[in-house]
Parts: sequence; structure tokens; C-alpha cells
Amino acid sequence: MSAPVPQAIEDGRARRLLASWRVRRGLAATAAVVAIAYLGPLLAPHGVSDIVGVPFDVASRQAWFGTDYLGQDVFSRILLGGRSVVWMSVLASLLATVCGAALGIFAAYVGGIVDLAVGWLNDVLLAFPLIVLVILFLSMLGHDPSLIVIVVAIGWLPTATRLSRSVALASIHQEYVAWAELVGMPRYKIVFLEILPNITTPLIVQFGALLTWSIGVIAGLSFLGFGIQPPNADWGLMVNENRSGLMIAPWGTVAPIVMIAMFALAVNSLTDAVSDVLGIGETL
Amino acid sequence: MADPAPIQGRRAAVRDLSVTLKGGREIVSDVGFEIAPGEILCLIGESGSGKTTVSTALLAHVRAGARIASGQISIGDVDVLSQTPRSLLSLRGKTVAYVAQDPTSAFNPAIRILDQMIEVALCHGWDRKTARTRAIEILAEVSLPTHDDFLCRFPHQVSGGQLQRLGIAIAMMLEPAVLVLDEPTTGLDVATQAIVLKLVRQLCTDHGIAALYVTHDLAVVAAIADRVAVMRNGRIVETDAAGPFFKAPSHDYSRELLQAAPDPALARPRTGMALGASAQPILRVAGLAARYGLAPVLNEVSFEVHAGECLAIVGESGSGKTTLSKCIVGQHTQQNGLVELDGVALHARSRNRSLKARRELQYIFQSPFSALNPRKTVGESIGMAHNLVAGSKKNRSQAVVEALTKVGLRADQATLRPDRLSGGERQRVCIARALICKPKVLVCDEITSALDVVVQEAILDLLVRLRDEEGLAMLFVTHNLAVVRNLADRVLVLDKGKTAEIGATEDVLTRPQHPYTQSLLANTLSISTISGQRWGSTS
Repeated sequence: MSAPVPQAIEDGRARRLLASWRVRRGLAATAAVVAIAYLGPLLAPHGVSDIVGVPFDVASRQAWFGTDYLGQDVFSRILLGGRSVVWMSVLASLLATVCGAALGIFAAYVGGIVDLAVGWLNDVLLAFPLIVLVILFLSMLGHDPSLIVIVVAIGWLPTATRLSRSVALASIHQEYVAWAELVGMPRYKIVFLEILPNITTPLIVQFGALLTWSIGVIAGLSFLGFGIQPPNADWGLMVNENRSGLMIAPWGTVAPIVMIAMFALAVNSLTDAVSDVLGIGETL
Repeated sequence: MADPAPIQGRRAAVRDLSVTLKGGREIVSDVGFEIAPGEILCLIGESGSGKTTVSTALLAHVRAGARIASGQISIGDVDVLSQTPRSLLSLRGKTVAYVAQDPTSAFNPAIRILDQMIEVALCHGWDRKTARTRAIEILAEVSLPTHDDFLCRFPHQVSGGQLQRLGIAIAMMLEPAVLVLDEPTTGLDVATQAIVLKLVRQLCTDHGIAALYVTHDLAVVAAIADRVAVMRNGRIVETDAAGPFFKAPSHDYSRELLQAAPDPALARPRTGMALGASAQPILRVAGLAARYGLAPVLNEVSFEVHAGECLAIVGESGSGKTTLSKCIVGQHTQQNGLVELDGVALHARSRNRSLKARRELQYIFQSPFSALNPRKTVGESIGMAHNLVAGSKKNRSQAVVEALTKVGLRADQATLRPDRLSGGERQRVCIARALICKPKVLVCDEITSALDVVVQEAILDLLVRLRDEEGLAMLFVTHNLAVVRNLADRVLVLDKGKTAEIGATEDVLTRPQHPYTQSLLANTLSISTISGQRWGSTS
């Protein structure tokens, strides 16, 4: 007799995803941006704060994309400045998805006053525009990158909680959960074995959507000066630093914008493709 | 523009109809039949046999992803399939009309009844006043109130039976030549069903309408059909006049269907069971009352069930029968009274009961489609039950195989996920999941209502076998009196949360004492009785 094969289900899903041309394209684009961010520093011809010429110089053999407001090499700083936005946005959306799922499933499963309380808390948080909430905390507590991650994650928490709550609710009302209750399965097991496997697909897609938004928010924070601080390189920060030279040496501004846009677009197209292939429209 | 002369007495004919899915798979092949004016043709078959597809094809409609590959459908001298999208609009409603299965979802909840009724007439260019007059006329014909108060109601303010009659009234608005009815009585109580059936018969005869009546319920067919067409796997396997069909069906599958159909008038007497042999009842319910919030749903219900005995709990929707079963298994906690298993009183909440009680009292759900976790294989679902009650994974795979064999499934099916199984197989898995707990009492809540008759019979046979071989006590909750006869030793009839009658199956079904039981029985269609009345005694 077979030992049950939980792997088979995941395999089926993975195979279905990889068979889709759109998913592969999205995956390749995302991988390319992440590769630039993580392998780029190894290939950068200059150091992060090496002065290679006069400020806002045009492209030359020395500096392929010209120089920035201090005369640093734009190309090197593009290669060096991706890591922060990638890890921060991934971590922030992961944190929000996990905490949101935990909170959402908890609220849906316990129901009653707990559900109400979580709902109210969400509404209060939602009443703050995200960027205002984040800047409020950062201006009080400082600019530490891990703090940014946590605050952005908190900002996404209501969205993540809401979605997990509603998809969990659909699963909780199914009779297999009622059965598990009746035979007295421990509640944590019901959550992990009966409910969670049925809502992973929407959670994956939710993670993708949050990631797209996080990229924008975190790059935006850097641009506003609340994120990575000079002299470190960061795509969002570079846009701010070099915008005064937009007319003379456009690459310093345009290149980081293109990188941020590419990252967001790649993640977004991957998420869309995944959600279409897994038929998320039917479960949501 | 008013409607010209009423269209009467047109013949519907379907020839060589084939419907294919996008992938090229044929779901309906070479279907052909004719319906004469005033005649009702019943299209029967199990779910997935393509009967709904055929019925909507009469309106030149197929569901998304399918298309009519070939064939010819004509009503009188009108060719239905060669219509332009525009001319199709004037065809639908006027030449051929449709009555949907579920009246509560067929009506728009935000629009008043009258407006929904005259909408179809307005679409065909009538003016409001004529349409209103016609609506009142047709309402009177289907025996619904015609006063303004009723006309201004919203769909949720009328009963399900009235709503279905309204659906028929709307279909009748423009006096179509052909009426397509897709399981119009499936969601209705037996008493309401009887009224609707009579109405359909009356309308077709009076107006010379050719009707295609789609159903899976053979008792309904016996009551209403002039001719019968049996579908299987997208093909018609037999077409015959109703009388000969019920007396001597020619096709094997038709015979199988007829044999499987439950009939309250035909008894298969139980053998080898001594009632009350065991002194102590395995399950005792005394003075059980339950409520939802402030609304009482159950009132002073008491009964006993012995090992090896099956007690059927019968009632219409809203009688509290599901609440009763939920109280017993500990899912509904707003209850007062006593539930005793093997002499030990049980807590109202299953979680607070002993492991022994949770093991010995097993519940089987109505829908086999939502009772199994779609992300788990059959083996995992059953195995999980084993872990819980056995407290360990020891002998797990062996126990799973044993349980699967007991319910008539193959051991290798343990690796499948529920979506690869049919409805009947899923219900077997649910039973196996209960059996692996070594229960003493099985509470079955409408477990066959989502299944086709042939599958239903197989499941009922399985339950009978389990009762006899394993000595299981069973509580079989159902709205279908016909099912009860072959399975139950005793019957408890619930009416609005109160016990109307309790007694041996034979006594209750043949000599009902309570008026509620009497009316329930009178309205339950029996194939043998009806065919006896309509076509003389059966062979």
C-alpha cells in the first residue's frame, strides 16, 4: 500500500506552472533583475563611492552611463544599488503574507468577537495612507533598513489579513473541516493540515501582488530620503540624487528608474501568469 | 405590436444532434427525437449524461466552451439552428421557452415579480398594459394570486413552490409551442412537487404545447411522461411510450435504472433481525430540544436505537432533521436534553466528549464533494482518521486498505485525490473514513441525495450490508420516503421539530396515524402505484 504522496500535488502544480510560456517569461525576467542586483556587485568596474570624473559627465569608455552628481560611475552604482530594494521588498511582502495569513485564518476560524476585533484593527490601520504611516514611524524611529521592512509589512497587514480571512472562511465552512472538528482533531492540525493547503494558491498570488507594491513603496522611500542613506548606492536614492542633472546626463536618473520598473513589471507579469494558470479567479 | 394568432400545435423535432467541447470531445452524439403537440417527453439519465445540454440546444444555446457540431432542430417549420442572433431573440420565449431548475437563482432578487413577468413580453414588443393583462391571465391559470399586493412582491417574499410556478408562468407568457423544463421540481417538497407536476400536465394538454421534461427522478417520469427517452454518455439508448417503458424496458440500462429506483410501495422485507434483541439501546435520545439563537427548531424528541438497527428520520426541509443529527454528533451546541451513547451521557460539544464517544459515533455528510479535503489523497484522508482514533500510525496502511475494501473500493485508489473519483466513490470514501474508526453508530445525513439512482442504490446496499454484517446502529436522515423502505427498521417522522410519528417502517408506511405522515405519503410518488393507475397492473 502506498504511503501517501503529498509531494505529488506540489509537483503537479509546479509542472503546470512551468509548462506555461507566460510563467516562464515572467520567471526569466524576475530572475534577470535579481541576478543583476545580486551578481552585479561582483562585476562593477568601480567602487561604490569612487570618483571617476566630473559630475554629470556624459558617457565615456570609463563610465558607460556617464557620471552622477558627485562624479561617481552610474553603471557601477546601478550594479551595486539593486540589492537593497530586492531583499527589502521580498522580505516585507513575505512578512506581511505570513503574518496576514496567520491573523486571517485565526480570525476566520475562531470567529465571533475575535474576528470582529481583528476586523476593527484592520480598519484602523487601513485608515492611514500607507506612505504616511511608514514615514511617521521612520521619522520617529530612524532609517534602519530592517525597520523599513517591518513597517512596510505592517502597512500591508490589513490587506493580507483580509484576503486570507476571506479565502480561509470558504474552506472553514466545508464539511471536511466539520468532520475534523467532530473527530476531535487538534485545532492547530486543522489549520495546518485541512485549511492551509486549500488556500496556498491565493496566498502565493497575494505575495506576488504585495511584492509588486512593496517595490514601489521601498524605492519611493529611498527617493524621499527615508531609506538607504548616501554614500550607499540604491536605485530609488539615485533617482533623487541625480534628478537635477536630468537634462545634462539623463542616464543617472533614467537607468535606476528603468531598473525599478523592470523589477516591478517582471514580478507583476509572473504573478499574473501564475494566478491565471492556477485558476485563482475561481477560488477568489 | 400585439402577438398575432396564438401559435398552436407545432411539432418539435431534433435530428442527429451532436455537441462537442472545444477540445473535440463529443458530449452529445446523434441525438434525435420528436415531440408532438400536447405531448410530454421525459429525458432521463444520470448526471453528466448530456440531458441538460440537449435541452438547452432546443433554444439554440450551449454552455461556454461547447458548440453544436451538427444536427437539425426544428419547431413546426422553423429551423432553430440556422437563426441569426437577432431572429433567435424573437424565437426564444415566443416559440420555445425554458423553465430553470432552481427558481431561487433564476429570478433576479432585486426586481418585483410583475416586472420580471412582463419583461419577456416587453422584449417582444408588447406594450406594458397588454403584458400586464396577459400576466394576470396566466397567473390565474397557474393558480397564483393575481392581486396587486402579490404582483409587487420581490422573489424572496414568495415560497419556493410559488416561485417555480411563476417560472412556468413566465415561460407561458407568450404561449410558446415548445416548453423545456430542466428538473423543475428537484428542489421542491413532495407536496409542492405534486402541484407543479399537475400544472405542467394541464398546461401542455390545454395549450397543445410540446414539452421536453428533463429529470433524473423516475417517479416523476411515471407521473407525467407520455414518452420517455433514456440518455447515457451523450446518446439516447431508448425511446419509448411511457406505458411500455415502465412495464418492459427494452434496453439493459433502462432496466438497471428502473430496478434501482426506490419505490415506497414496494417492500423488501427485512430478514434475520430480532428487534430489541439487545437489552440496552446503543443510542438513546431523550427530550432533546434545540434552537438557533432564539428560534426553536427541535422540541422534545426522544428515541432509542439498538445495535444492528436502522432508524430513519424523515421530514421535509425545515423539519429540523439535520439539526437533530447535528445535535447527536455534537456539532450543534444550542441543545437541551439527553443524548446517551452506550449508557453514557454525551456532552453537547463533540470536542468535550471522550475519545471513545467520538470514535463510536460517526457522521457521514450530505455532500461527498465537500466532505473530503480536495488537497489530500483518499489514503491520507482515511489515514488521518485512523491516526486520530488509534492514536498512532501503527498498521495505518493496512487499516486503510481494509476500510477501502469494506466499502467496495480498490486499494490502489488510496493514492487518488477526490477530484479523480465519482460522486458515489467519494461517498464510499466518506463511509470508509467513518468505518476505520470502528464506530457503533453511523449517522447518515441525506447521504444519497446528491447521487444518481443507480449509485444511490449501491450505497444503500452497502449500508444494509454494514448494518447486517458489522451490527452497526444507523440513523438515516432523509427527505425521501421511498429510500426508507428498503433500509430502515423503524421510522421517525419529524414535523416542524416535533415527533409526528415513530414506529416500525411497515406500520408507518402502510398505516400512517398522523395527518402529516399521511399527507407526506400521499404526495410521495410511487412508480408501481402510478403505473398501475395509468397503464393497468404491472407485469
